[in-house]
Amino acid sequence: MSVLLDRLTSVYPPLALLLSALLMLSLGGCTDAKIDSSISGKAPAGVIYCSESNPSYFNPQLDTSSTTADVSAHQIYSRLLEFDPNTGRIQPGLASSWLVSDDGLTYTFQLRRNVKFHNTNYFTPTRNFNADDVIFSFQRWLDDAHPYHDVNNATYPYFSSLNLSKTIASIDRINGYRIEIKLFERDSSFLANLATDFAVILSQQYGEYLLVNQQPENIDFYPIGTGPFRFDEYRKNQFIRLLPHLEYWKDVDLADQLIYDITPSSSIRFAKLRTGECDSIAYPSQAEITIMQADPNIVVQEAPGLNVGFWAFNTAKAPFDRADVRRGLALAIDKNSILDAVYFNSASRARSLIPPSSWAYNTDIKEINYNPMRARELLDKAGIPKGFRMTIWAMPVVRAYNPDAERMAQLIKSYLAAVDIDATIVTYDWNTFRDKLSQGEHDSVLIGWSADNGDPDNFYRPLLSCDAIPSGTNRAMWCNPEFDALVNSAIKISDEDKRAILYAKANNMIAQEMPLLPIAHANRYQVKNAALQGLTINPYGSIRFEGVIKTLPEVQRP
Amino acid sequence: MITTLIRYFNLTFLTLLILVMLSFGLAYFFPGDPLTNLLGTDILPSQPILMLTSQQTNIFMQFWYYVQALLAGEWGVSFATGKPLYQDIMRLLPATLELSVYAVTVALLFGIPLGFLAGMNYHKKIDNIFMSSSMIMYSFPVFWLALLLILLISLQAQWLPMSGRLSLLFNVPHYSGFILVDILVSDIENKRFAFNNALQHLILPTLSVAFIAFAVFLRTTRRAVADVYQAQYIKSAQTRGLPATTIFFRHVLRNALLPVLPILAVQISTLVTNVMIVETIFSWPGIGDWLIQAIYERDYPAIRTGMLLVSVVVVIITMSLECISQLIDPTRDRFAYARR
Amino acid sequence: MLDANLYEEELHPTPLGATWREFKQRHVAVFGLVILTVFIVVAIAGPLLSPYAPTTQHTNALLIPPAWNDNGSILHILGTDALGRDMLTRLFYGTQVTLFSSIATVFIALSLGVAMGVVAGMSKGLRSSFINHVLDILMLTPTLLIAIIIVAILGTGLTNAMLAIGLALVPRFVHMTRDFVREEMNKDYIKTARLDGANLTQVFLFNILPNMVELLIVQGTLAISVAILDISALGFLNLGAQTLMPELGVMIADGLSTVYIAPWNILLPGLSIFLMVLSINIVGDGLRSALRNRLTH
Repeated sequence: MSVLLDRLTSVYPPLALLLSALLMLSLGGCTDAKIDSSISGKAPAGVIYCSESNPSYFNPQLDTSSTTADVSAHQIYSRLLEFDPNTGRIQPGLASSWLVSDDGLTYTFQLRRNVKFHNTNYFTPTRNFNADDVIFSFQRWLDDAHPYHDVNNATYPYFSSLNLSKTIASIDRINGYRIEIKLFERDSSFLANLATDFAVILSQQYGEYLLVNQQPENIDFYPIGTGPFRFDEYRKNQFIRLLPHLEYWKDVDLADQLIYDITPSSSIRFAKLRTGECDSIAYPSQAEITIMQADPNIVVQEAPGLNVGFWAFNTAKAPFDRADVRRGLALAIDKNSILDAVYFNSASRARSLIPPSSWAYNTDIKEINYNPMRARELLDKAGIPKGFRMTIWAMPVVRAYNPDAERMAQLIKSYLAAVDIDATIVTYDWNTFRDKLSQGEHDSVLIGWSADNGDPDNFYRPLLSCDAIPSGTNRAMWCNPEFDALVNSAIKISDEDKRAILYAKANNMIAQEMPLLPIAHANRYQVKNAALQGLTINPYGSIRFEGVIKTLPEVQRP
Repeated sequence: MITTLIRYFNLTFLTLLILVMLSFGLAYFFPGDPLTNLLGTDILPSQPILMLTSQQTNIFMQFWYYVQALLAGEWGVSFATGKPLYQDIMRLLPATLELSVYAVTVALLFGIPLGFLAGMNYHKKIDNIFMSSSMIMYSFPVFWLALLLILLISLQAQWLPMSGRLSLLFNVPHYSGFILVDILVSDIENKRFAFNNALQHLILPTLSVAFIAFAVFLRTTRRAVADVYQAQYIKSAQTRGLPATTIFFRHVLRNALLPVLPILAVQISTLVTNVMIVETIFSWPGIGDWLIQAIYERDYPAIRTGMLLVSVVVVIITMSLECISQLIDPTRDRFAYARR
Repeated sequence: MLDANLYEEELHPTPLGATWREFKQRHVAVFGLVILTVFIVVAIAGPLLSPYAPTTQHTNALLIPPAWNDNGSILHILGTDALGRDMLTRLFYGTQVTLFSSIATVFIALSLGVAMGVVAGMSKGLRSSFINHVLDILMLTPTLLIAIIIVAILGTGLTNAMLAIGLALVPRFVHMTRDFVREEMNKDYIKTARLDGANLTQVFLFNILPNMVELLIVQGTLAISVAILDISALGFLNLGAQTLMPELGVMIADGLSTVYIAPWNILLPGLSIFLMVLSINIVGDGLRSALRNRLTH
């Protein structure tokens, strides 16, 4: 008996009986036509992933939405470098090795040989991957004069948000399998950026072929890459079919076909997972996780996410410009109860900005613990009167790092009331909210951040550096030259252990100054059919299907 | 007979003409630029469309070119996909027709015999049972029924799949658009398996649509049979002592079946509405699902063309049915449509 | 029996009375009428009875099952939805929205259809073939298609959905009225009236309309059930009433996201629509049979 019938019959015993009787009657003899979720040897094999929406392009350079990246980034394309999904460290991709000069300004990449591009019914490559493809792919977003720069009105959102085109001085071909990239200044997160979903390698030969045929726009819709799967068919709102690239440069198992079944409703995705029509689904709903865990055919994987939800104080506004006030307020909050009520315990308690899965995480952070008595003492000392009024801004949208900011705000309000602070919850629609935040109208705000790559710098500089105030990601409006010097020197060092020491210092500085109170690192979930092997959660970007296969259980057919 | 044919041909032609005019007018009613709404693109593919867009043409000439373009299969381009609508619709329409045909077949197959049974037992127990259950059946909101079927048959019992026409793992080449036909003519390895799989996908959507249509056919047939049995000629046949089977086959059957065809014609538009709703619930890749998606995306060329095509198909089918029933039963002294 | 009534004609009930007598004898029909009355009462008075507002979110009582379930709460007799809104309250309001918008739609379509039908039926000279074709197209075009076009032009919303469904209903009332009027016009009592010097308006008001009332009631009742099904279907497809409005079809669409944890969120609104339509159909059917029996006896 599955959960649903239990519920149905417990809630409406007569109705359920009546309906099932009626339906059995009308179905007549069809009752023995069972679905073969365990497909027999004769049926085609393959993996079906129920995705949530239509991709905008088949090229992640053009779009930061995860829907686009999930289809193309790790299936159709490869990058020069990859993240190890377990440790987050950078691994060789299409670049088999690389060298960084002593001044940290020149990167030399040795490229892999005998890497084949996809052979499809719309393009047949005649040469292997080489340096020209790398230069083509990078120049497309770097060089305004590149023939493909303006194709499909591309804006290259990821690269422009990092201002990478201002960081890179030149890209040069040394020989067919070696390229050299020069930077204007040191950037230790540079390699990490090359390993993100967005830094994919396209085929230069295909680009020229399309130019000759006057169909350059096809490059982002009929993709050619070096990834484990090649594009076969896409029907909007219905499905995407990818076929295995038999000459893939890595020696891994590939599914006979990979199908994205486009299913916008999360409850229907879940239903299809249960009926075996999907092998894995995108964005499982939190509410249904427990039901999924109870189903023996479904495996729920859970992993810490690379994100942080926090409570930021507007340090540009009195009295929040004083560290003791901020510390006092932070002491009044019990993070554990927030983890219970808002994250349903699917998150880990945040001690610093970076989550425990990052290599820069250190355990000996002086963390503030819940202590309302001490909080009031501090506030008294700082001259904050009883009945002091402040605002808590709660973001209006659901994000992985904060599934319900409104509820979190209500909890914080009740904790503040216990130390005689009278808080008001403020919210606007998402765009207005962000505009007003950038103008610094808030006293404090509940918001967060999700990382795009495994580099810890992706948390520190965007969230708390002085430069991040005008660009609108530093919600605490906190500008501390000492902190800036610390994180800026950290990205100029390549040795991870030395960088980790600097980030530990930065963490302590944040704990001391408390421009923001980190609350939680929310977990990421992935659910799949138990027969699906090799699918792991990729904390650094989009889903990966290389090495994912469906084991066929022994079928006894009558 | 020829007059009837000519009359219906005229009627259909006029109705279609007005439909085309309406669809042309829609481009002006929809928000945005009428020409863009007509074409869906700035790229001008063919001669009639080129003429359509030139500045000098007045609205009447525009309409004339629009008709030419329609006949040439130049139906414009979808806002959402940027692809020609003709291709999309030609792939989707068979799926919808397929579902409708099966649903009607199932409904007729069960509705008419059971209607006879009820009509011959007019106001007896079995008739009452049929009447009350058919009343219950056609009071079902079709979308709720479809959801209940999914909940109980697909999710609870896990007997039948809940979405699509065929497991996506099968890659059946497009031939006629009718999935069962396509599977049979294709040369994929596991044909039998694919065929079974397609049948399994068909059951629930077909049932959802047929459920309600069945109730209507049952009631119509039952009424007709009951009326025939009360007619004087049957009474006289009975008093003359003709055997019941002779009366049934010689007199009742034909006369009772006559009203079914016009009812089928009237039911077509309700049926198509139900098919379209059921398509969205079962993710059936037909024109209903596509049109509703188009409205969410404000894809005006798609809405205009889809609306035109569906109503053309409905009009042609309805008119043919009307015409046929008129030919079978010329005593029906009136035309159901465009009466004066 | 001294006080036996000697004047037989006084026993003759009015036509409506006779219909009611016939109707009363059908227990199922009366039962249907009772259910329908309950729905109408709920639709009118329900909002006054319920302790909550339909949009109040009880954040500490999300997805509570109905009260007879072990986890149910007596505060929310039929449970709550994913936002903690009280199900019973929403069903009250939903019944109100769905039922009343359907009745209003049918009423307007009926008035319009009858007016057009009367004009078409009474004026012999009127041969507006174009209007006839447009009406035919309206009748042939699936309701959902009309709704899609209206929504494309005017946007979504309950009023636009009502407009679409009304448009789809008008032709049947036109046809019905026209046939009826045309048939009556040939009858002797109309000719008598005409000979007495009554003009067309008077003939319609005093001779035809009284005879049409019952037909209109039966057809109108059945049209309401069609309108309820269509309005809720459009709400379900997100083409009619929008999410914030407690319309029954919209409630089912909302409930879909939690159908596993809280199946009552789609079962209860669906059941309400079903029962409402069923009771209207039973009443309409009862009326029709009663009418037929009265006329044949």
